[in-house]
Amino acid sequence: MGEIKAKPVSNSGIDMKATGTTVYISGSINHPRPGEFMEPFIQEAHESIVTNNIQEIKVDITNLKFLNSAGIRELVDWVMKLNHLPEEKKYKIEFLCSSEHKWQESSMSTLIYLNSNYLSKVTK
Amino acid sequence: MKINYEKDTAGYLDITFGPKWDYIALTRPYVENFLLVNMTEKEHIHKVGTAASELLENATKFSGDDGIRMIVKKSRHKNEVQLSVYNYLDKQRAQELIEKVNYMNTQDSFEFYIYRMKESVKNKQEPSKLGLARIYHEGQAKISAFYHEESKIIEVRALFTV
Repeated sequence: MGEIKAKPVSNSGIDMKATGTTVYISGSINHPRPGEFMEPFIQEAHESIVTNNIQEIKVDITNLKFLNSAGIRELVDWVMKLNHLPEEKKYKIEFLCSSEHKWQESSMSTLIYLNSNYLSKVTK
Repeated sequence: MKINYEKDTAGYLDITFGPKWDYIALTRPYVENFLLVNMTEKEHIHKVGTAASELLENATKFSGDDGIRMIVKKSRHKNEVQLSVYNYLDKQRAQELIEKVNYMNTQDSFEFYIYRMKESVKNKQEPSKLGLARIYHEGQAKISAFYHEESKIIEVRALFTV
């Protein structure tokens, strides 16, 4: 089974890395333009997933304390990349959330609606 | 001079700063800790904190002059928290914002939030414009905007039932 290859990011209080088939996003995203560092990481991870024919990944945000709306846009952008793939290339994303960070329940529930066939969330 | 801001409230917070982006991340947990004194439901507290962060981000991005003010009031007699954020703005942009808020208030909050999410990725050079939709849906807040023409200050207000 392939693994996600993407250069880790550590910038402005946020860390993003991929291990195996799990992407970890942690810290607190308050940056005015988080796309500057989130988008290249997500693009690289997305391409790696597609190239390696990975069918299912996890995105662990249990240690992501806060995500501003500009950061939410970057996750929406990822979902749109997924939506635009041909059916046979699409992959499932399971978001691992924490009940400790209240924003995750409301924000991720809405995000999942953008593609409920391929997106899901589990709250710990 | 008389300072009696707490009168008839169960918590009154008034902060003026910046505009400086770095202060926003400090303000959100401060607001949440402030509300913890008189509130217990963390979900409600977090909604107000998130809204404060989003409105302060907007104010910092669009303010036409120095100084952003935020007032948080927890009602003593009603289950309500009112959050107001003030910044300088020219009349035309203020009017545009008021119209956007009025239009948003005619829409279903969930559908509008989904719509804004999809729109936000069409032109990523532009601001995401997701903040108000987020407060409207995730916070289930009543949002309104007022322009104080003599001082050229826009006030964006979010009222939460808690």
